[in-house]
Amino acid sequence: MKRSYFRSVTRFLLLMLLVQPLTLIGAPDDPQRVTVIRAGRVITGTGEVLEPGEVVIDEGKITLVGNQLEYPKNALLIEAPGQTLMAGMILARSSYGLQKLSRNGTHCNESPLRQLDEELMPWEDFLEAGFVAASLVPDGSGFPGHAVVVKTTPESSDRILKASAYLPFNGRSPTGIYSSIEKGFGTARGEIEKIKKAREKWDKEQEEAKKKAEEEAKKNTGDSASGEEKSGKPEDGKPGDDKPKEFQPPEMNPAVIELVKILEEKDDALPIVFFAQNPGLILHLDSAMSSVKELKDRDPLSIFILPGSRTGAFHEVLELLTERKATVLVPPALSAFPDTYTRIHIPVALARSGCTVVTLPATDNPTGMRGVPAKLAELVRYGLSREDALASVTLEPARLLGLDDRMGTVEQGKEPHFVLFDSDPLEPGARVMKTIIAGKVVWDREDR
Amino acid sequence: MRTCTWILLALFIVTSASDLFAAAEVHAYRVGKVVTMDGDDRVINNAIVIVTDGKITAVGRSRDVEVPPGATVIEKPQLWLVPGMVECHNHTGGSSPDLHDYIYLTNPGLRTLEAIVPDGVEMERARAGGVTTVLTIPGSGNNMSGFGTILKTAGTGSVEEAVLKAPGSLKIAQAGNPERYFYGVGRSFMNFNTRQTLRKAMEYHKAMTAWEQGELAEEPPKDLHWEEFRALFRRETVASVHTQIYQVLMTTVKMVAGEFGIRTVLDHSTFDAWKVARLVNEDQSIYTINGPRQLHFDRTQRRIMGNAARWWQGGVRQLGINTDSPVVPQEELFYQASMACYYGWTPYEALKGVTRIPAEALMMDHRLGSITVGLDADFCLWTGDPIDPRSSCEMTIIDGHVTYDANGKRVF
Amino acid sequence: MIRDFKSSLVLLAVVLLVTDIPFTGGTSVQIAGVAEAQDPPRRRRRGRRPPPPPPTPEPQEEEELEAPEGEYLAIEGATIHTITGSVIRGGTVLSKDGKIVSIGVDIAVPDEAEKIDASGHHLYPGLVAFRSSGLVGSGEAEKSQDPFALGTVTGLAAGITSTWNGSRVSKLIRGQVTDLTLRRKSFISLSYRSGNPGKKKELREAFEKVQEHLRKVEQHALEKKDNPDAKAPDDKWIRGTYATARSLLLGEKVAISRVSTIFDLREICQLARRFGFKMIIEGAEEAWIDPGLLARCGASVVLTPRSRRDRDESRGAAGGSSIENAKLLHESGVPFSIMPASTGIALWGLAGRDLSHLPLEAAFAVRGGLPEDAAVESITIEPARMLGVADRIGSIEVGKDADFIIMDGDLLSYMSHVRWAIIDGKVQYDKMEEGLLDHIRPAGEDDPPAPEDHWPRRLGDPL
Repeated sequence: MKRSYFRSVTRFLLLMLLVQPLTLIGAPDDPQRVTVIRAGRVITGTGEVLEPGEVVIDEGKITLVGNQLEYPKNALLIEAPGQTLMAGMILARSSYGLQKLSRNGTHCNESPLRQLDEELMPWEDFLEAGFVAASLVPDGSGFPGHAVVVKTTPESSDRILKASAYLPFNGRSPTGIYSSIEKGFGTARGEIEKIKKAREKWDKEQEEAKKKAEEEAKKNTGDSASGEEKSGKPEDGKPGDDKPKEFQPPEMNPAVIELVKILEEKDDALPIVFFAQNPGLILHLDSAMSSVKELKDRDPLSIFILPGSRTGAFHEVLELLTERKATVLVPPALSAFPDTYTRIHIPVALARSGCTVVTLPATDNPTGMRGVPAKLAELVRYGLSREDALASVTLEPARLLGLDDRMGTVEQGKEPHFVLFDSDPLEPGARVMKTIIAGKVVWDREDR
Repeated sequence: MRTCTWILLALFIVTSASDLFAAAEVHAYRVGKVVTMDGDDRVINNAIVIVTDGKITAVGRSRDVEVPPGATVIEKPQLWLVPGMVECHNHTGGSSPDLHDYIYLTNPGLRTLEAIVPDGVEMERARAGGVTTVLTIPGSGNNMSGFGTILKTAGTGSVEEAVLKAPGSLKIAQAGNPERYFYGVGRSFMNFNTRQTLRKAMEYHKAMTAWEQGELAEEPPKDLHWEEFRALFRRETVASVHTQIYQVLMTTVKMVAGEFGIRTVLDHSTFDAWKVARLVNEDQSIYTINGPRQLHFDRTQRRIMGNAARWWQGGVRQLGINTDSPVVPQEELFYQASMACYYGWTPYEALKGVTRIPAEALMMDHRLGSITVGLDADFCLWTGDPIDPRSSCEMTIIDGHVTYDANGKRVF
Repeated sequence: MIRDFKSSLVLLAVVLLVTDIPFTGGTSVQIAGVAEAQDPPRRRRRGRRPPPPPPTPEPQEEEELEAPEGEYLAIEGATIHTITGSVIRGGTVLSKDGKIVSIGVDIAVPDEAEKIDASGHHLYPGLVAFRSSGLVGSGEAEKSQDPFALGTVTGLAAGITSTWNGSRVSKLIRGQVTDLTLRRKSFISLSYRSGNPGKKKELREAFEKVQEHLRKVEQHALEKKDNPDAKAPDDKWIRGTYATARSLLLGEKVAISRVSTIFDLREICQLARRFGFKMIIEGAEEAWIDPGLLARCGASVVLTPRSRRDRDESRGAAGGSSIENAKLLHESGVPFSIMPASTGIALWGLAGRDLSHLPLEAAFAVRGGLPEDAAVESITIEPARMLGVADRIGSIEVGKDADFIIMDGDLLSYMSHVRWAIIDGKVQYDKMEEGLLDHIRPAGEDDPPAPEDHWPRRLGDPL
């Protein structure tokens, strides 16, 4: 009872907010319920830059973004003059800090959380680099499991942002790709067959049961009223009846449920994210996927991860990726034609030709993560727009992970996960000063 | 006393007369083409080369050169007569276990002369490939592994007969192998070590010279470590320097050629060494003898380059080719030149790079490397362009003697 | 002159016979076999686009009026070395959808054909490397090839368009992982060498046992006519060595064996003659001692003219390798392919000993006395025959795959480079586009100016 009252008050307050955004009156008996961050600059990620800017957080949501806002006197103030606030960065793929665990084969149900030891997890490294969320992927080749998006806050309650975001697929060699795809989808197909057969069997049984019942009914046609009643009863599903009315499918192999969903074109099917260590593997993956007959004319996979090395003839697959309008997770280091010093910025080229580019650190470790802003600046220098560069670590990964309604920009209604830099994030030497998750400062350089 | 003189005189007359009566051994080679490789770069068609007692005594067009009476005429109107090739970097002229003695990081005073094997399969194959002279040097496992020996590949007679010059060169390995001598050996130490050794040798040379010129009262004690270096500092012999990438090559030019004033042959000079062609050009006594690597894949430009072509394009003209036999078999010296041409060099220069240029590099051009009157009669008869793998060496003549004839048994 | 004229007349006639280009009006003649061979290579490409509908056969008249369909490539002006036919100077080769449709002087070329002006160049069929590593993937190329591998490019730059990777015969096609294989596994590796007498005996006995078994099978087939219930001989034991022996005895597979000495050659030839199986000998360094030996047992040879094998002095007989090996085998009628010492391509510096210079290895056979045309055959049609793919590649003939190399000179010359390499009618390598060797004699000049990458640059040097 009390809770619903509380909720309605909150709703009222929110309504007030919408009607009269410049006057915010906090409940006096609710001390420091509201948090306000006052930054020298706010890059909203929606095309706006506020200078200075303020962000008001209430009830775990961003309620206001602007400047010279009014807020309750007792609001918790986070003062960051001279600092630039933007949406917290999101790591689209990482296994940094996870315990090693080797798996082979298809285990789509496996979670990287099995490899996560809260006590040993170096969350601070993520925070120091300004990453507020990370999509953790399990180790192993083939389909080692699914990606889990977590908040990087050291506080372990409410850790999970998304329980399964995508299916990472690792093929280290062409042969491995063919066998993993063949085996994975082969097993999935087998499961579908199994259920289909069980269904047919069940249908047949039902049919027979029905016939039997009818025959019995015919036999008992003499005692008219009571007989009809009897035969009608099981169909009505009268409680206490032995026969199930609904078909109970047999248990499915949990390791391939996600692949079954892909084959059956379910709405909640997860995308496959393929780690292409060299460009040739993309072609092999294509070939392997087309050998799965159900997928022949479909494109369930347009997400690729390119490696962080500067070698590899990735310029050869630009056209192919563009044709697909692929989403590409790419470390910004891929920057020269193989065996030359001749520059080509693969991420820039991809972004220009209409692909979605998500930036990953050059290496999956603290150095790589801390280097992301500088690498983004390099991309901007070679022709990527500032907005696209910043979006490639905020909004685009959020979209990829299905979290764009919750994070990725500094907008009303989104969750308050931010990073504050001591200068513009793309300035040389820009440093993360504060990382804020769910409105709380979880990392502050001044505390170091 | 008087009778003694008479006897001697009589003996002298008799020997002279017998010489006269036996007449000099004269051969006349009438061939389709002579590529002389001489200073004028003459190529003579329908030519005759006269060989008298192992020396070339006349070269010219058939109609201009008179064949002396009594000369044996060898008629090969289809063949080319080309100077015998000279190999500047060979390890197969000696017994193979003695490739190099691995005692100290520098081993001054050692000589391959003690390990020479003048005959054998290797020399036979060398002749079949048109190679008539090789410089057998020790390996590159240490910074200084001793003095090499220039020998002919005739494969007959004693070591003394085969050897043309000993010491033929000092082998210095600047870097790129001596590191393996011992853990911890690097460029700084190797260069210190080489410099230190050369300096000691120079001091010895100076002291000995001073004594010879009467500036010292007492003769300094003889030291076999340094004795052979004296010819080196007098610039009577050369240093074969195993030197590869450009940084190392710069050290070679600056230290060996510059600081110590030694006549330097840049052996190998491979990888991206051609980058410093301009520096090499500044000392006109330096010879660049490229090999065995003939190509360089430049991973900054994604280009496959010919080392020789690149040196040539950089203006280096004293440019030759080697095999580092057995790395590339000795008989394939010409093929190293073909490879240089495939990767951008020109055939005539490449042929010069295996004949006259190495002869000059070893300071033996007064005896070898071209078809010039007065030089040793070392040449080969080829079915065509000698650096075309399709052509074959039909006959090899060393000091006027036929030492290989493919008609009897074709070796290569 | 007259001879040239005659041969071109003959060629013209051939062209008219086999051409199926409809634009010439009523004169086109369709030959079923050729048309069948011209089906475009099947490309499995996954995409959102539905697969193209199967071509519907149209009436002949309509087809003649319409522009011809298909991808044409015309290589014009080159000296065409057909290998199995004559040499045509200034001729044209026309291919359609990856197959050669006509060859000759003054042949009709459709307007929309892609044209390569190869005047002053020499056109050869793509070279066939009998064995290679690192040029195409291992095993099944479709499932192992790196489509952007440098090894493939350097292989093409060497003029090689097809090779046996030790398992399959595949083409060196770039940027594609489909339709690479020409032929699947067909060889059986056989070891019959001195040094392992036990194994030799075992193998011989296996052959005998299987031969006996096959005799029984034959007998059974005869018996079965009279007595349908006759029991077939048991063949469950035929596994391992026995299975090898059976496939060889039945001629299903060809044996491949590395044999060097004349002693071993004699023994294996004896084995092959006794049991009558087909055989390819790799190495055969001492075959020159008795070149008729291999001819008598019908073996083919893969040889390296330059291989060095010194005479075994302890034997006291003739021995060791000889540069004349190829010539003597050729004179005895033994078919052979030529391979360099290394089956790969290495870029670490030593040049001329690997597949980068396959033609020059053949040139060494010429040095030993082999005629030049036989040398060229030994790296084109002969390996194609030995690999069982001569119906598709190895020579320039109508109906064969349009796999060519266009050289800027004679194939066996040490200065010649591949200018273009073409597979299935598509340019796979273009020297001037590729950038690996484009700086070497770009316009044919011998002495280009100093490149800009030389240094040190001194003050005042032009940059």
